[in-house]
Amino acid sequence: MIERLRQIAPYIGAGLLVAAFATAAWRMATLPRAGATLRGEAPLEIVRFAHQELNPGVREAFDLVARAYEARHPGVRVVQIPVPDRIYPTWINTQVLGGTAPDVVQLLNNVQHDEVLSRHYLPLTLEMEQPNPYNAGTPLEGVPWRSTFLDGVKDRPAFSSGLLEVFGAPSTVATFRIAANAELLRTIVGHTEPPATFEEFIALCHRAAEWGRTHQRPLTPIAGSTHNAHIVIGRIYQAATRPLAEELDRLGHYRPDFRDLALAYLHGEWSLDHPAVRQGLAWRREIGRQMQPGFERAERNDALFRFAQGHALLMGVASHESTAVLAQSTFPVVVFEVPLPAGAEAVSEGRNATGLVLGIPRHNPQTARALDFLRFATSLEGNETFAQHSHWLPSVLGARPSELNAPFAPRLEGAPIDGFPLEMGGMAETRRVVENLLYLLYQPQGSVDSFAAAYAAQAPAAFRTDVSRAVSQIRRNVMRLDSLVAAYRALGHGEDALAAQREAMNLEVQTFREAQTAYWAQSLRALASPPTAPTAEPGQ
Amino acid sequence: MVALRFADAQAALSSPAATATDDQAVAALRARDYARALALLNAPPKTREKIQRAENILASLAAAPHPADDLHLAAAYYLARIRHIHAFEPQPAEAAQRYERLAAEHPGSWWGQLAWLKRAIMRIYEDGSPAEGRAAALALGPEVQNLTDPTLRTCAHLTIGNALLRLGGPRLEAYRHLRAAAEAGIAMPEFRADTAIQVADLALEFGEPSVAIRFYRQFLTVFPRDGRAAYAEAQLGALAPRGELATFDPKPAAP
Repeated sequence: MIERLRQIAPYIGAGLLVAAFATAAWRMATLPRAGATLRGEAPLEIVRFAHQELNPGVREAFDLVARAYEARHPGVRVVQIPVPDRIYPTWINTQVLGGTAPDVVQLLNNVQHDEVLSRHYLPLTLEMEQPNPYNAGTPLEGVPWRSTFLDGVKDRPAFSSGLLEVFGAPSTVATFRIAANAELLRTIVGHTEPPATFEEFIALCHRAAEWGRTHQRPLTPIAGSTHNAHIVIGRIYQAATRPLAEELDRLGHYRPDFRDLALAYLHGEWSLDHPAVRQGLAWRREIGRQMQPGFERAERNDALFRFAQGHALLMGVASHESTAVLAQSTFPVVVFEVPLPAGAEAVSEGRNATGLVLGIPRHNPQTARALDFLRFATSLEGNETFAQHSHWLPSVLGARPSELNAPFAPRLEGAPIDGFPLEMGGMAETRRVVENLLYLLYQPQGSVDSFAAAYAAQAPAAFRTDVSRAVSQIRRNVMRLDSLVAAYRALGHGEDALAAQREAMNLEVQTFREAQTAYWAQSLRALASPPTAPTAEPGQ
Repeated sequence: MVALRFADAQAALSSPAATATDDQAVAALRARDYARALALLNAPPKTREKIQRAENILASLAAAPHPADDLHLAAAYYLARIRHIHAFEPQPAEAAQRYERLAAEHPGSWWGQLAWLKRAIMRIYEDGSPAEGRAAALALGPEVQNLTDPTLRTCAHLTIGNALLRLGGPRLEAYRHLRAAAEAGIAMPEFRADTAIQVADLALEFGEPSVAIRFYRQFLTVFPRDGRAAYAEAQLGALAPRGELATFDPKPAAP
């Protein structure tokens, strides 16, 4: 028998290869194409749209939106192409460069950079200023398309502040909550009321751990992963550093830039010895200790699996993951906001970023049809259909979230400014340094002191690198805007108010970015000189 | 979308040049050369050779014995920009001289005023230390009124107001500049929101609650779902018991 297996073994691989090729060829041959006929009727017009959201419910919801669009437009067929997120960035860039991209595609922050957007995607700025015709007969009738979105389409990747153009329409907005296994919660504490404060939350974690030990059951209080740990940890840490962020917000508009905070650190305006930072780190360690060892490197599905199997009591969940959590959990789930320490003020969720942004590659022959589908998908009807069936939050004003997702609805009340993470958001080198040091904070023999000492030794160089890099990158953008300054000037705008507004926006953005980067460069230069940290002068 | 793809622009510009037999033809040729120079400045990949070619074209446009028309001034401006930011080895001192000359010789022109604005940014952030920049921002303040273009004036007010806050200058002076910008109108929604909140808070700081109310309200009207909306509402609520809302004068005070 074994001998026979040895004989056929070389052919198994070849056989699998042939089968895979045949399946792929069959799939390609049976893909609907523009011009194909539908039951012998008029030629089909195909709209293909691609995204990377494979969470349960999303494909089904988009299918419903597509069918509703097809019902309004006989002869049009909408084909959805879900692509796994690990390959989507490479796949979509290859498709766009090769001129074979679908008609509507998902835009991602770190994939479609300004240069890619300007060369390969259709600007929607002018269209966004017009009402969405699919909102006729609704409270949004006559409202410019852009103003129908919760955030007014002002964040990447839907809007590029570098190019001053809208390139996409968002489908959702994200909020974050904690999910609790209600059965376990009742078993451990006798009820399913979520903790109201951070102190109660930590007490609950301790009780859960103790219960697990007593019952000889492996139970982690919080299932963590690199993807969702920040939902709990970040919320608490940033609550601690919120007053410090307000103190360091020199411009006073409650949106301090991470580069400004890094420079403030380099100039000695704050350090890890600051009481707020120390407190935040202590809380951070406390929460990290409630997660399974090595959670910083765990994948999203590892945490989800642990929670769904009843091996964890709690888990941080983003609004768009609620269906995944519910679909895989065999027990009832209680959802609640991250409880804050006594005295800490919650931050308003009104500025939470919108997501699942869809844009249109510009070189496709049927951009008009793609635009029409995009308008429908982000109309009040289309977006509500999507929200109700995907259980993701809607992005359009007035669109109702599903009952399941109601606990995730953004809370607008709260402080205008958030604290800041030690990773400093998108500052890549700083993030790398912090992530490499976090074990000093979370491991059993670790401590706030050992982490703080290592951070103090390594963060300054990372800050300098990141700020210098930002100066170079933003200056390149300032250079690009020079061409637009000339073009707007040469074209003139006459009575065209929109063109006049664009010229003004271009000048404002270029001036602000140029001044901002010049300030950062000046601040870096000043580090080499005797201390010149500015001190506020009283008003006159 | 005004941005041009370099290949398209180059193809359009490489048609055989018409013979310059009259002023109209000369103007067309100059405009073509100007567009070619600007296309070269940002054409990927950026090379020294392209920057040099752009500079040569702009230099000939700026030096040509034509009246100081818009294109002539624009060429002079972009020569300064090359020295300032486009060159592989920037020459800030020479850029500063070119900006200053253009602003001084053509104070009423749009390009002269834009050159003043760029030089102002240099004086605040590039010429010296933060303390010197703070002094420069204060000194530049009165000159803003010389700018006749409303957008450039708004940009100048924003630049100086924010510089005074960043560099620890007098907050009252910062308030005056930011308020002037906000009242003149800011096109970019993100900046409009930021400035409305800055002005409202500063107005309260300097005892002008009616101005604070106006800008908190403006913020809430335009950005009702912003994360700062609840704060603006709370501020308005806190002003109500003091009777400020009842005595609110909707007319803006002079900056």
